[in-house]
Amino acid sequence: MTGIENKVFELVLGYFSKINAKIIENNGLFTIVIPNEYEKLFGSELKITFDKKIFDQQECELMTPGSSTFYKIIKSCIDFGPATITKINSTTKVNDVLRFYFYIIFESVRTNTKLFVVDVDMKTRNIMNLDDIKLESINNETIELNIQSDSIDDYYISAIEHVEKLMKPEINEFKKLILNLKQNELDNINEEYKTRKSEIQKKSVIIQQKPNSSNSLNELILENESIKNDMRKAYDLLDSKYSITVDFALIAAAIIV
Amino acid sequence: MNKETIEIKFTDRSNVKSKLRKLQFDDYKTFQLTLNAFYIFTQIKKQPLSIISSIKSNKKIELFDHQILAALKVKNDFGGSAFLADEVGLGKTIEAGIILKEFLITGLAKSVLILTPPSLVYQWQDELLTKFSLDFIKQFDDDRFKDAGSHDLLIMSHSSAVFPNHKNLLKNRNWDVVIVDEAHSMKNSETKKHQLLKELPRKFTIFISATPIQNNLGELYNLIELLRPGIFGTLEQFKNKYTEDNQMRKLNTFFRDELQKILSQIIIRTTRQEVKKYIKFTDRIPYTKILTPSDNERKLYDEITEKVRENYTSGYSILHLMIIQRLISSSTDSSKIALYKMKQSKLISEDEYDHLYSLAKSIENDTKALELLKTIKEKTDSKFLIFTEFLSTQKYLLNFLEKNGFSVTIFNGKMNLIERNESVMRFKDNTKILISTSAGGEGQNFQFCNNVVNYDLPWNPMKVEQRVGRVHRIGQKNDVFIYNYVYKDTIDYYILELLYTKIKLFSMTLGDLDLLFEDITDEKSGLSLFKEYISSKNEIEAKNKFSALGENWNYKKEELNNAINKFNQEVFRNFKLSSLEKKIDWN
Repeated sequence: MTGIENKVFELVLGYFSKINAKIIENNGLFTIVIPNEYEKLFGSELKITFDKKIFDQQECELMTPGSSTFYKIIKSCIDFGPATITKINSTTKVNDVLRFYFYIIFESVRTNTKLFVVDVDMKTRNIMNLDDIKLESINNETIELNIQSDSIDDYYISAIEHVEKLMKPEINEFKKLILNLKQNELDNINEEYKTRKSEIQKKSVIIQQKPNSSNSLNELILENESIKNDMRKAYDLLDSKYSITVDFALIAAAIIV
Repeated sequence: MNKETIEIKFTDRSNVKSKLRKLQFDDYKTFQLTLNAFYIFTQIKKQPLSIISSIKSNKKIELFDHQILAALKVKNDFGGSAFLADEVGLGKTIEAGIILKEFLITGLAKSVLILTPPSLVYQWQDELLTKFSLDFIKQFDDDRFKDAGSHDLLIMSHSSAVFPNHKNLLKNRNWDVVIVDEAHSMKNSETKKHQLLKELPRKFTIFISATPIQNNLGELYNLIELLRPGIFGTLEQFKNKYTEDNQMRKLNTFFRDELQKILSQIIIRTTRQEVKKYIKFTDRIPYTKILTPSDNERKLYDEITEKVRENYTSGYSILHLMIIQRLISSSTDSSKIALYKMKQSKLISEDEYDHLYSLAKSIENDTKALELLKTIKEKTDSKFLIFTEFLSTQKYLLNFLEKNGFSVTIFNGKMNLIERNESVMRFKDNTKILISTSAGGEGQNFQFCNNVVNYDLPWNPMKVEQRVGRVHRIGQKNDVFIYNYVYKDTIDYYILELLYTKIKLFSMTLGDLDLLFEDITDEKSGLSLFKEYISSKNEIEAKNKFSALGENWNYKKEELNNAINKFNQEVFRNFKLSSLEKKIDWN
């Protein structure tokens, strides 16, 4: 299995185990008996596989991006938004740390995403760099935490200030890419309307040289207005098409003790 | 103009902060699942076509290379907007479906509007749901529809979209993807449809049409203007550079390569010739049985028709009269329903009702049914899909065919989704015959059957095509036989003559029909033919009128065909716009 296929395998079986589904494996074919409270989402029983060869031979669903069940699972997991308590797998003692997980989404006619972690020292509120640490699960009930509700916002603000600052070059890069694409289209539109306007101007010169030309001139004025109107619409469409949004979405948090 | 602002958001959709404040903690497993899900999501976005495995393993789709290559091209080379102009029958809807699914899965799109001719709205909804698990709301006949601005996945007909209330709601939001099926109907820049599209805020646009232009290159210019505004400059500049005549019918061959270069960044057009090595195209073979009705059948038809004619100008609702005429053209059992309706609306007296009803009762079996029986008996190994417009005829045929020893399933618009699916499965696995009403058959695919029977004839050419289209589509392995049964000198006979003999309807495709009948809506076409018939003093006059109408339609069809052929010859000849032009290793 490739890296992504492994992750898919872990996610799907991890999810079904979390919801207490019964998982029966038979040579790569998995029968999942769904608990009552999840039947609305998945039905009472699923037959799934991660192996294309098995899928070709048997009535079952292949778990891969785009498959309906996999989509439901990934969506459910994304919606958990967990906050948890963990510990560091190391003997080095540090202060308690609040780790924020951001999923940064760049949206426009192109899209890009990035997972970003920011650690805030809960004592000093300083940003820390614990990139290479390994986290371990911990029994939540044994931990006594003394956190002021207000201070969560302070930690969060420190984290987003940091991430926003670090992401500035990437935001600028993305903006540049989108504006280049927009400029190409804008150049075409500007050129077209410039020509249409100059065609009108030429016509107006000819009309004004003729006697009794007021009707024709009025028509030309209307045509000119219509061009301006069209141009405005084209610009508006372009602005909306190439609008850029960057979302620093908070997706999870872990208090590391 | 040229706003360069970036909207920065700090969302917390799942209230992580609130959980922290309240010290509500999740277990480590949930935490890991979430991180894993986002990791996969990030990886998916980096793929050229992330849904490739799921699409290739989707047993509901018969997938071909050119379709995947087209989707890859649109996403990776065309910046998400394109004109899908494959020749008829190559699965352009599937291509659009793949693109849509990819965009939705990877987050490139969240809102999608599909604009299609009314006759295809149901088909789109059904195909996207059954083949791609995408649940679109359609604007009519869908209880979930609120208004045109409220749904992220919406299908509307071209004509409904331009209603002022719909139009304003559609324009007041940003759409990520707008798909326009049969996009050639947007060719005229003066129409409301074209204007709407010009103003519809959107990121990506997908046009679909097998016939991008029919008359001149100006139409192509108008369509491309909606996809890539300004790319050809003004219409005048386009005309001067790329065409040789004022009507823009002749391509300036000097600039053919340049035009091809631009079009190849916008249009994907794969031809049947290019894919014939892996797609087998089958034929449609119509068999029309012009039958002589029994004396009593003739008498019943003539006497009721006479009553309808008498009342045509006396203020009765024309639609009511048309339904009566359609009922008596279907079967003797449906004629009995017609008689009851006539008695209720005082079109006939009690005495006339009794007389005509006993005449109907004296007809033991319909001549058409007996003829149908012969045909079915001749083809012992084949399945038959029989269409009728009326439930009364459906019930009659069910009894008649079962009495004659055949296994029969029915399918109609009164059934719910589960019952419909069960019917389809029964027909597929067990029974020889399915009798379907037209309403029931919309959107269903029966490629495993290759005999279609028009027991009665819809008076709208589009509906005839929709019936045949249920079996004659990609996946059909055999030639399709179309059986039509009509009685001589009846309205069905004249309509059949008009549609079959004159314009050779059964060899036309839905795209062709849309072009030919683009101004004719469902109700209008049936009604106008009925008016022609019923306003005739007698059958001879009716016959003459239909003959003249046939000439007219035939002329229009030929003109259209010539124009399309000429365009394809002149403009697309030697153009390399096929998705197969560029081989991409997507394994």
